Amino acid sequence: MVGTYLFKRLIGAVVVMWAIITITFMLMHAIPGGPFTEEKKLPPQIKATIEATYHLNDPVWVQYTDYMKHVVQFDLGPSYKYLGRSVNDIIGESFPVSAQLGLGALVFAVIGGVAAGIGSALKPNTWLDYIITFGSTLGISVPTFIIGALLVYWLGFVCPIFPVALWKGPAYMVLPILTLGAQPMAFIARLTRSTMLDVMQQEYIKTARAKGLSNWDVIMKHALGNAILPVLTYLGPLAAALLTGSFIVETIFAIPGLGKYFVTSIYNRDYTVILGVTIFYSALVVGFNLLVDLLYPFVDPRVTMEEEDKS
Amino acid sequence: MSLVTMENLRVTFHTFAGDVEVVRDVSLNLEAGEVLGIVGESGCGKSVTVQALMGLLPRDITTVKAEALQVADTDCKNFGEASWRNLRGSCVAMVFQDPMTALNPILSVGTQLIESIKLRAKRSRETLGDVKAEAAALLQKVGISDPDRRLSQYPHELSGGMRQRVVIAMALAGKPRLLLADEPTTALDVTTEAQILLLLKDLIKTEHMGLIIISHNLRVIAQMCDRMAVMYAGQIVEEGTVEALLGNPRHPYLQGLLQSLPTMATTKLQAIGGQPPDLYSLPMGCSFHPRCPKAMRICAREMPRLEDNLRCWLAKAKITPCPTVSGELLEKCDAYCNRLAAANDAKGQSVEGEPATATAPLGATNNTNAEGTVKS
Repeated sequence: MVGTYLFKRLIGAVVVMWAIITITFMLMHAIPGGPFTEEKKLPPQIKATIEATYHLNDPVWVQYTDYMKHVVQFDLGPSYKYLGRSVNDIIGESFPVSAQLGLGALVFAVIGGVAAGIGSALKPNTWLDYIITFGSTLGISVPTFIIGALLVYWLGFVCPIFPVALWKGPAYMVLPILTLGAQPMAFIARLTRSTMLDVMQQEYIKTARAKGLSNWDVIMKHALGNAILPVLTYLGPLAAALLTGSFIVETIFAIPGLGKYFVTSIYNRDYTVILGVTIFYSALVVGFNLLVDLLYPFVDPRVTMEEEDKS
Repeated sequence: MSLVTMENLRVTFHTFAGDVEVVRDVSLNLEAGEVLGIVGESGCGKSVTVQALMGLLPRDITTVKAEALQVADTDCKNFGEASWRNLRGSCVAMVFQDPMTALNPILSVGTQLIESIKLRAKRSRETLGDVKAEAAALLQKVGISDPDRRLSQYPHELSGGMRQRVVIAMALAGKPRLLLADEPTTALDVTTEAQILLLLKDLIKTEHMGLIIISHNLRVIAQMCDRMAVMYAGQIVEEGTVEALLGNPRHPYLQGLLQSLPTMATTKLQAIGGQPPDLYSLPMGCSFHPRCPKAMRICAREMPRLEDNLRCWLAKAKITPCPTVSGELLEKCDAYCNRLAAANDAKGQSVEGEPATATAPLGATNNTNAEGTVKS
């Protein structure tokens, strides 16, 4: 059962990836200019030679089929801007940094968010709830670069506890993780609070209390598992987004991560890098969503992977 | 000593719209092996009364007061959450209305059942194997076949009746002396309902428990109970043995309920006119008087007390003279009631009385002024 389900999902994933690559490829070529369009005009012969080297003067569909041939062999091609480096090299070097940062932020956001959400849901309309709700509203609405700047100012400058830039060890990770994790944490806190409030009203919670279970057991054994389900759904895309890095956080803290390539490659019309990071990010999103869907039945037994079973 | 002694229970909900008293002066008594039924419309305070017997009402938004509250020989009047927790499961257990929502959807039947058993087993040091065997035995006791397989299944894999059996098994796990059943069969189809009721009846006999059963359904009460209490707007309006109440209903509300029971010959459903009262602004006097076909002027002015297990001016007007009512009025009332009864007998159904609505000039009416009470 799981096998057929997985097979269907993988076929679907391939189709999705193909569509993403094709659309990105076409859009990219639809933008005026190219990787070697500079303010300072290159002599026409030199430009023609360079473009011939990279086959940029071929018809678009030829370029497309060439590119696809390489992609299926997991070769994302050479960068046009960073000479001598392939896109695989760029991702290989910068992704581990982004992944560390992202994983830290993910753990921070999930643990902090779920704890805050439960805390405020269990004591609704108390000062604790108001503080958490206020904080999470702030967290969602204040942009990341302001949170980052404030953290740098307070924890790096006023009370210099943590280093404010570069990526050299655990202490360097604290501020970026806090900055990157703040918004998802606030979101998870709100999500958890609302589902938890809903779950605590359910009859089975009353049943659990009527059994004589302690408050702690009621919450941990009966409420939490149900309240966590929406958070789990949100976790797939969130993990993909956090692990691939953030342009803003990496710029503020001068971190050599993958995030900056998402933005700079577009300025540069660095076709292969644009496509490469897009494919990589999409693959992670598709992969994590699949992973969450595979994990879901373990948390919620009502979800099965057999499509026939609708009862 | 009786299993439940409850005297003058008052429950107040603190809501955004203000405080509202949802249970007013409810007194209950129950012996071991006895079955008490509570009937009444939605929102009349049945469930709240029963939940107060387990301390299940949310503490932050409710105030529970009682002159006496004893459950299973324990004085619970001033119980805190921790004391109630010790009582729950082992002394009192509850079967909830809807088995679809009363079980946690993401935990297996076994997990939920074993959890209940363990709470008690902790004290008697049983092993996990014992506990599992006991869970299977419990399922068998409530009539579930193939219990070992059922233990590993999840609630959504069971039928409604099966789930309610599991809920009952969970309630029995702590070997309680008092079982509370809050509309245990409302969510089930009729066949399953009959099975579940039979099961409950058997269990009461074999385990010698006390049972309080809440229902909308008078037939369920008739089938199950020894005694019954009728609640209206947070008060008990009539109480007694099932035979007495169903055979000779005295309160107009209960009479109305019985008349609205459909039979095979029913072509048009009878209903009690009007709406249940808004608990935030209860009518003056008897809460039922705006809907009562037999209401008298005094009903709109003064709340009848529960005497002889009945809370109604009608009976009192006939039986004992009331100090606030003049003799002349009483005679008129008497005559009126007799005519009503005669008409009732003749027609075999309710007679349009002269409803004294809340719009009657209450304050203006003098005690000695009997005019207008009865249109003759």
